[in-house]
Amino acid sequence: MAQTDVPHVSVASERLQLVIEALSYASVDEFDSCLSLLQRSNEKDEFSELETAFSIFVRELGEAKAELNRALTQQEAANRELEAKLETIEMQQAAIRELSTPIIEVWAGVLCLPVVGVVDSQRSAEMTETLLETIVAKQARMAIVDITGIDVMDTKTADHFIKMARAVRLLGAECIVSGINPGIAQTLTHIGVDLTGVRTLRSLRDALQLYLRETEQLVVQQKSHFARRESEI
Amino acid sequence: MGAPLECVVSDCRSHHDLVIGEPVEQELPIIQIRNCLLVSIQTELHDRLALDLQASLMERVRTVNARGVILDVSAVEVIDSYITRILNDIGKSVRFMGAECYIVGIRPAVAMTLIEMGVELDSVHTALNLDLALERLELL
Repeated sequence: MAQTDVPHVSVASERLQLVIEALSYASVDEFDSCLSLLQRSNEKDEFSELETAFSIFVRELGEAKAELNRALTQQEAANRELEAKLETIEMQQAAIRELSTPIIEVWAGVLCLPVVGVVDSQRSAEMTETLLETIVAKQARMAIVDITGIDVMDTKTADHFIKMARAVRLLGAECIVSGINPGIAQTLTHIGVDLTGVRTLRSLRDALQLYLRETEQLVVQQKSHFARRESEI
Repeated sequence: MGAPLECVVSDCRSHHDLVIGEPVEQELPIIQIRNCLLVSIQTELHDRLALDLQASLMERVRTVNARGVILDVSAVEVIDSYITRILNDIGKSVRFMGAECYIVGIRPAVAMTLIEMGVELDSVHTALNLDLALERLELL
């Protein structure tokens, strides 16, 4: 063969075959088999340098890949944990939603809705819905919304309660708000909330007393009415 | 608040046009109990129907000299702003003729929608059911 300027390296075809085989192992993530194949030949020539370079590269690749897999497993575990937590939160939210509108029939035809905690638009909508449905289901004449458990009230919250009272009145029942504490009373006056359409009383007890007094009056009225009619006849 | 209200109003317009175009003639029965008039509305309340009701109700109030008018809307699932206006008008004109108007059985969903829309139903009385409305009218 004629001599050229570029030095040639002659390699036995088996060694070349071996390298190709080793790289094919590396491509399917079999890094150990790949390395053992690359290190099989003990010859020291230019081609063996390539083999060494390859084996270093493959070793690095293997380590990087293993690291990545570890990170991935960790991430998956974290994700699973997060999902479980989200599920718990959702369950708790549903539980809170159910607990947030306890409606008690304190007297025949009198419903009481004690409100505790923060009232936002969503919660107030749910409360109104439940209250209205219960009023219709039980044919209650009066609904007492007891807000003893509320410490602070802003314009928005006050607005929710006014809307609730108006919706109750639309059904034909009466809505009374009881248990407004001094702080709230001052705030409401200060920010100028118009509570004219809403009857307010100091406590649940007063509200109940009012109801009893009114029913009594109604009965007396009815009796006198029928007595008058009979005398007319 | 502005956007949904607008959408409701436009809905009610198109619905109005549609109903006006309908050739179906329907009349709500007006029942007399002692000196009260009772209308039990068992279908959806369309604009045309409500207007017809208003006219025939006024006539009946005059002829029977009624003391009270009771509209049972427990079967009505949609009450829009126009229907509310008609109901308010009925309430006002009935009062001019010396009677009182009671709307009974408004559904919870309807009540919530009316309040959310900011529509007032203030010219009529409301009662939970027919029984309570009659009881109150008796005492007048």
